[in-house]
Amino acid sequence: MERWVHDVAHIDPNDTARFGGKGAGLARMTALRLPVPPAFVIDTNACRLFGQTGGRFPDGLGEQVSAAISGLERASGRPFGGGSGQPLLVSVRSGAKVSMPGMMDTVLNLGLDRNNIGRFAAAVSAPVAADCWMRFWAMYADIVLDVDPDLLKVAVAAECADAANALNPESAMVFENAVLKFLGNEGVVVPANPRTQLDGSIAAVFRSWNSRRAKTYRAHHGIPDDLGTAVVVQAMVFGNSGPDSGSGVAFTRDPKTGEANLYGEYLPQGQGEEVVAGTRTPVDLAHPNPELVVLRTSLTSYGKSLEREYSDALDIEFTVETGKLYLLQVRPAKRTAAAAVRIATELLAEGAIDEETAVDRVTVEQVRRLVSPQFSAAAVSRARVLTTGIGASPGHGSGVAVLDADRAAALAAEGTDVVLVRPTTSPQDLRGMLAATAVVTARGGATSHAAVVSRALDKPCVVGAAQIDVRPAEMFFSIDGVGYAEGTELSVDGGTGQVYAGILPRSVPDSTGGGLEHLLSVADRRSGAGVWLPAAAAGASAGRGGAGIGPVGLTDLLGQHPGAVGRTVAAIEVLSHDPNAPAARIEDVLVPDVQVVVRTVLENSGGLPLDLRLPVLTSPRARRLIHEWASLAPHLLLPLGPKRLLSAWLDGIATAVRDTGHGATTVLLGGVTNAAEIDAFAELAIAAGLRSGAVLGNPAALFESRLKSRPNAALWVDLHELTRAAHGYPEELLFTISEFTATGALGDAAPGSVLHPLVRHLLGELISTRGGARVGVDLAGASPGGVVPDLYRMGFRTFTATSAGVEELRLLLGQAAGAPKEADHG
Amino acid sequence: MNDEAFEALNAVYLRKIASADVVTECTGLESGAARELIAAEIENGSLEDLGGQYMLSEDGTRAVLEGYEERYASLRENSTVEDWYQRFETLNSQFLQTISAWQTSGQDEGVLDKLLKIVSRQVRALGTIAETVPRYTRYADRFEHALELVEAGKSEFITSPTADSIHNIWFEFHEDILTLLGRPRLDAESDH
Repeated sequence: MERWVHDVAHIDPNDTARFGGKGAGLARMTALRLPVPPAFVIDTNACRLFGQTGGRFPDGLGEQVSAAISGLERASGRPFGGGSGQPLLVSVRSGAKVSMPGMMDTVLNLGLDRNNIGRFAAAVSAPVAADCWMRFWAMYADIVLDVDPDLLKVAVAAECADAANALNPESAMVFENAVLKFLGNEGVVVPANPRTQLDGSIAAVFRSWNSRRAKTYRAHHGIPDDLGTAVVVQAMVFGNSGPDSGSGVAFTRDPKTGEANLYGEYLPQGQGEEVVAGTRTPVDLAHPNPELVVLRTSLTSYGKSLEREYSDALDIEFTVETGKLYLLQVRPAKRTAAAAVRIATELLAEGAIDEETAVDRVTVEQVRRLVSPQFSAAAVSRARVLTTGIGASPGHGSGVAVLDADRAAALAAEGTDVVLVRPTTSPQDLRGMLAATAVVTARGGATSHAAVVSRALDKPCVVGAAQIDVRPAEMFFSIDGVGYAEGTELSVDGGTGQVYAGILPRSVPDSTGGGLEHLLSVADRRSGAGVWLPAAAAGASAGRGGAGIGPVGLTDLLGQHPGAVGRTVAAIEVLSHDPNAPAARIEDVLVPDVQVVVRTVLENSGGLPLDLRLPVLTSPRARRLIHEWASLAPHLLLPLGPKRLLSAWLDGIATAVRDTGHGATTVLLGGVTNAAEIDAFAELAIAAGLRSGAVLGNPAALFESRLKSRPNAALWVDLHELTRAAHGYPEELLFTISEFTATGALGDAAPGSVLHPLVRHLLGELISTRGGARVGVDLAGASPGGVVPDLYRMGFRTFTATSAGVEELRLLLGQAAGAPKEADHG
Repeated sequence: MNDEAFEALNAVYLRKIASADVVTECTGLESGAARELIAAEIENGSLEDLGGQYMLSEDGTRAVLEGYEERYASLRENSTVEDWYQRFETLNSQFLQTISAWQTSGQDEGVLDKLLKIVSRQVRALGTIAETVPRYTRYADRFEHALELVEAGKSEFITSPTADSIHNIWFEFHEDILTLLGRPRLDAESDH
């Protein structure tokens, strides 16, 4: 007969296809001589047969399981079900080769019934025994029978309390009958016998392999359906077995800072669940108590051998049962963003992992968190705390308090930073929440509407700030009797729950001691890609690993110089009426402004090359800024139509370049549709002593195979404009397209997060015909995670992003470089 | 007011502001029929058109609340809905704990499994009350649709406030049944 059931001490730890990840992990720990409770595995072949026969155990499996249970009884010295002395309880877990959603969770404490509960109580205490038993039934109901565990707990609460207070055959029977009766009323068949419950749990694991969610996940990730899952059955140990027992969790490296030092907590005479639930206060493993020192020493040494095995920082759940230490579960540890960076760089330095792995060990979200501006510590120490609530969504935000969603949305639309302060929120406040930089509510807890929605929007949020009395209709709020008008400036720390008076200055903290920059430089080296910085980062660009600055819009620069945009618009309108207007009204107006604003950027460029985008009179912004737009002379709307304007701008830029001695300034023309326009523009630029290039946002321009006619040209793809043109959307729609996509109306097409096939085709044309041109992609507005790996695979190596996105982009590119170099997945 | 009109106005009532697409989704009507209904309600002064988004007028709000009264006042006397609601409260607190745990655990897949199981149970529970409040099957359909999208990897349908996400449908349903039972929201303030 085939063997499906195996002792973990005797299986091949590398055969995860047959024994699953958990089983192989236990085998590996056993091979390392680590103290793990005895366990056996039912292999994936049994799961496959179970599936093929429509949910029947293969002949002989039951006998093999019984024999393996006898093995656990021998190893633990405890009987399963009947017998005498402390009974054996087991845990049942699923374990496939690849862990996937939809698989059955753990069933714990299996093995109790009315006949042996008294013997279990003798070992641990009546209340603990009753609690374990209730816990078993809740899990079994939830996971195996699919009955709401809380309803069960409520229904048998009285009988459970009686059993805990006075455990005897009578109260045990009453409790068990109450459980069976409730479950019977819910319409499920329930075995009271532990051996039958074990079979039920094993079958539930096998069935969960074919749950809708698991199937969908496999289809989505190309995992074959016939892989099957293994089942791990393990003897349980109890940290609540009196003195000299306890449970805890240890991290091989500090999960907050990443420091390479064992960190952990221990709960004497406690169970693992209590450590996780935080219902009792544990002791720090660093405590100098001699018993803890012994424990810490063992855990440190086990941790080191496990780290060698996993090449990662780990969290280890452990239990001490009457003086003997057992390791229950080992897995890569959860960690803060700063710890993730430190752990990755230190493991790299130790030679435990290679560069590719180090770059993959940190996520884009973690990098985003590390570079998001925080209130400066000095300002916080001086700030006045108005009130403290529950920190529900971390982050720092400031603005003026507004007490009504519609008013908040209106004020934010004018460019004012707003903090929405409400008694509580509901979907009716959504407009205000979307517009606010932070949200504060007087009522509600960590699961309130405001908390859930703020987390979904990644906005700082403080809830349950009970001292605030919010009066939206009267436009004022009070804290402890002190009144504040709507419009009061506030700063909100959604992590600590503190609300400060005033606007606190923010800066990007270096919480990784330079570790992040080091990791990103590794990513840069791997990708060979260059990220260009926005103008706002110029001056602060030192150490941001930028390859250049740009493309910077000349209009944006003029916008920061008082009156410059107005003067430019006036000159354009004059030129439209009178092509031969005197220089005093055109050039003499335009050139000085351009010269001033460009000089400022060049002086702050830190020597990085600069790409400048000249204004395009057909842009939506030009339509807004130029009052007489509809009556402009038509030829001005062609890329090279406003030659006099172009020459004046080039003149101003060239003068600024000469003044500063900046050696690498390139001017870009927008709106072009063919190579001849780029050529003609290049001649103008050469005459002014500048390099030239173009911003390509039009499918026709990308389709050009003659772009290579101009080596050294700089070409930037405006992905936002190209996507818009490919889909044919009006400009106004692009900013709400994500909402529209969410309705499912576009099927799987998600502009901005997936490259449209036409866009991908055109970009392919561009990359293959670029000749000697420098080609970059401006990602403005697109979701980098969605498109960057794709663009990298196609061969693009130059990108630009918004200021906040620079570090994320560098990491993404480093990760893309390590990704398999296959054709795109479509 | 007939059922269709009540359901259309109720969809707007629960959101304060809604587009024709949302009304179509919530009533289960054909898109054309929903638009005709909206036009009729604008005509009789119950709805205001804010350029493709609709809001209730004072008359409209009154009509919705009267609609709840005339349909469900009698239900408040018998215990069927009350008992059902007590079970929902249990599920509701699990739901809120779990959805928050999913958000704060770095979107742990195991926690999401638990969340989807809770939503599936809610769909089943809605089936048991459908005889008493037939329109509640629409919430079940919308939950099912959101579940399918989440299982296909579209995680924005878990908590996104701008999509017909699980959290949005849940919150809306909770408001609905509280109004049906004639209870002010304040009781539930501590959790949702």
